[in-house]
Amino acid sequence: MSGIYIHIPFCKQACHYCDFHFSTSLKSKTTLVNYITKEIELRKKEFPNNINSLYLGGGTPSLLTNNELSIIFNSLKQVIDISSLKEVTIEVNPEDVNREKLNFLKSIGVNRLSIGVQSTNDKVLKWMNRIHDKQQVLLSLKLAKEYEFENFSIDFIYGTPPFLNRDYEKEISTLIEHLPSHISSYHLTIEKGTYFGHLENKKELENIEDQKSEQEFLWLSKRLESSGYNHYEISNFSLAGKQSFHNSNYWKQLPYIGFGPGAHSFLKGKRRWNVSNNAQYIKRVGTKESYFEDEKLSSLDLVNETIMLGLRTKDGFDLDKIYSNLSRNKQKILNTKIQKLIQEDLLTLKENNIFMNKKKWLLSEYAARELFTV
Amino acid sequence: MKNIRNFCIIAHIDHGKSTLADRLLQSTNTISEREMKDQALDDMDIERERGITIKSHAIQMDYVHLGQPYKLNLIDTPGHVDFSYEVSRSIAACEGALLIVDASQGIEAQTISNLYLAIENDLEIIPILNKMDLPGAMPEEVTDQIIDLIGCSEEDVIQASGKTGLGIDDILERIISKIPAPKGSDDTPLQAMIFDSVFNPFRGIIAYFRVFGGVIKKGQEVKFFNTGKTYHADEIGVLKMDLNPKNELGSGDVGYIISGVKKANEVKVGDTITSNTNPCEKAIKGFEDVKPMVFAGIYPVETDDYEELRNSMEKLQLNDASLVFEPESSAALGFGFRCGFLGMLHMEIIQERLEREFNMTVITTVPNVSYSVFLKKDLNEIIVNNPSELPEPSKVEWIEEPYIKAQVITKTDYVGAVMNLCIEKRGELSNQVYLTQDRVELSFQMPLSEIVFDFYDRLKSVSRGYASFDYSPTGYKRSDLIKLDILLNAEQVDALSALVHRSNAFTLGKKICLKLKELIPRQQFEIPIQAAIGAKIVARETIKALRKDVTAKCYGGDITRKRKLLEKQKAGKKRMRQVGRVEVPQEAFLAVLKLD
Repeated sequence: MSGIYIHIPFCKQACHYCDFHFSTSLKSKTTLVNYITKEIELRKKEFPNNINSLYLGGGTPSLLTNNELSIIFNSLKQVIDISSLKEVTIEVNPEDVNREKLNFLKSIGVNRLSIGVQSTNDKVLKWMNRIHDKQQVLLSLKLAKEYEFENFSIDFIYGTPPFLNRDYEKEISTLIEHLPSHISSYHLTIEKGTYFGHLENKKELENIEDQKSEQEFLWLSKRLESSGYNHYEISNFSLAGKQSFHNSNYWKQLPYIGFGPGAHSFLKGKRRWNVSNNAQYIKRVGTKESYFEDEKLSSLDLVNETIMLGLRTKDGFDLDKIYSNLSRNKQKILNTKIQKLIQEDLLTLKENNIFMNKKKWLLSEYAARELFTV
Repeated sequence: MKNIRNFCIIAHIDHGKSTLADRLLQSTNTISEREMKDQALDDMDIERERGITIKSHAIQMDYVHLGQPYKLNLIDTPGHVDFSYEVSRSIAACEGALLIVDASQGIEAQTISNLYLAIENDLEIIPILNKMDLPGAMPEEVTDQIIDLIGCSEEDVIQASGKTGLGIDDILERIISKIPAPKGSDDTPLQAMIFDSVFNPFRGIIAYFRVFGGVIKKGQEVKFFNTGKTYHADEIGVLKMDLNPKNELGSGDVGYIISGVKKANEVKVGDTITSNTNPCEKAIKGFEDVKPMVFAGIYPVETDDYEELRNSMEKLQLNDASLVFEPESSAALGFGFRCGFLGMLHMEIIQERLEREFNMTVITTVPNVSYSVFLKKDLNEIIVNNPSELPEPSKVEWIEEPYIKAQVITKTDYVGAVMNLCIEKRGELSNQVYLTQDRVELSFQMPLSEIVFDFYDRLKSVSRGYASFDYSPTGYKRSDLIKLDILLNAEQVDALSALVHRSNAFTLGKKICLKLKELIPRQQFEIPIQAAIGAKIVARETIKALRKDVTAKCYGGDITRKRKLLEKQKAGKKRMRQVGRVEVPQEAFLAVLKLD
């Protein structure tokens, strides 16, 4: 299986936590959309086989007009049959969801929404500089249901500072009342270069204590699992059969092709990334100058990726698959490390699969570093 | 001999000594455009990168002036206080010195002490105002400083720029007209002074010398006066960009000798070379056996690398006779070496060279000075170079520690701050001289150990960089010293122990604990850090347990960056040493050097 990703690098305003690539100047939106189709045209022959997912992310793809969306979808139709894809997702902000929009999205073949909810607490939403409020969240969820998007996912942020006084039980129960098929629940990360990063530098904001993070993480996991959600990746939950195909492809190291400024691709063992500057992207795609960089992965790079990504998922990684790519000596070293982490109660080895124990899941990068082969 | 000129350069770090030397080499065609690279005389990468000179170098330039051919011997010297003995020998090998002062910076402490040394040795001083091309150059002001200092006239100060080549011809002309030709005679017994040596893996030790009297010939039997050893002069010659063999060198010449010496410590800087059959009566005065001033343990990060570390240190010692070491063991770190260094920069350089040239990752423990401990029983004196070897306090009558005379030159604005710092460091002001209206030289009597502990960085910060520093040892004094121990996870870590003055112990203990808390990464369990004097805990900090080590998202665009970050972090972890259950990074062992 494989996927297509399209990056729409525009937002009406910057959220205080976000370090993704986007611009708040919407002037060049249509131009950029045209250059994305130019890139699609240029890379027609690079599309991977067995595509099962198309994903429009951002930025804020729901800022695109119907016309702009049509331009992109028509261009893709020259290469693939969109109606045959299992999953066609678009990220939307609650304030952009209305009947007319949903109608149109359905008509062009979108079958899954990822709604940027983040919280149902107005104080929290405001603190993060989100545009929408609780009312708009509830309306968007209602409409998603009404328009029979059998698949819709919501993004949620926890791990926020204690002064916000959040009632997670209240927020979560409000949300799951609408039966989203999927929930991505992210711990707040204070990133450099964001407004929150700036506050951190000024010592006006700090990460919450580890113990608190762990407590909230475990609470969310338990709460959502008791409502029938499967906690299948550190930050992702789904109802039965509703795991995100698109994101699962990433974690399984399956191929994907990405279009737009800053978009990444993974094709034929090579990872590549487009220039993440809108003006540069437009200029270079236009003149066919190099607008991307790429890197061929060594077999050890691939092994380390498998470990890093596998430990983020509930199923972990297949030890035999890893061993088959390692020398005797490296197998031995890895095995010792695995035994050590099993003793530290971080890992479980079951039927040749290595996975993180739920209680210590938040230490998965620590574990990955330990297991990395150099 | 009347056409030889021997000179050295006195300059502060960054005042442009090496660049100016490069220009002299180019103007005299000693080096071609093709061979030219910056800091041509500095062989080691570490010298080029840091812009410092560690070893002395010598080079002969040919120059024709008014139809007469001249041999100009430039002896390039290290600029740091750690190497002041080497500098003193280089100065003793010359008749003149170029005093290079950065026109935008003015005179610094290091320059003054070396200048005094040159004046004591009756060297002719040629003052040069360098970096005249900089917009911040203050020629009038700095010229006044120079005039005040050496009593020359305004016209004597040459305005120059190593960058643009301004003044280079003037300098060459002045070297010939001002610096006296060497004295001495070819007819007296051979008397030549070694001012440095280098190790060559194929030829053994190459010693650099200056002939003061007599003639040295290829193939003759020579004797090194102070070590008493005799050698066969396999090859002698002069130093151009390469070795340039000759059959004989006479009085006043500067050259090299290769005589089959394999060990650097047989060739002592300042020693006299003479003829074995017709020796001179006296050695050239000024010879000293350099003693290490600062001691620290050096341990391999991986215990298995002990033998390899020994090999590397032995090789390094071939090139650097001032490095001394002997095996020691630590409860926390296993087997390693107690090493003696000339000073803190020397210590840093050795650590860096071990990593660069031998690929050895090492842990350096808290440095200390050499203490004299007098025992109660018989008032016997024992030398302690490692705090963990200090006898039980109940058995000690008193302890003495080395003192120095410290000289700081700073702007008047910072006198208060510098004084406060030095007094805090147990210094006593002994002199205060205004060099110019806004530059002051302060002299202190201070314990050397206080310089070892985070002195340079603090001096720099309290003076906003406008202070320079120099010191010379003045002997031992009795002090009220106690041993401060550090406990990690309730286990004492001997490599972190230090001898400190009783009055500082509490504050220092607190600061060290705080610094270690900052440097030791969180681990899966809580780690108490304690400072103790004997059984008494005087400070405590706690490193909280690690419960979260993961980012929220890892999608298509995050994978490569994340993998690389984790790989980099893993590589960094290689520099950690397991002490009990706690993993301690390399730099934590030197934490006390950089306290806030």
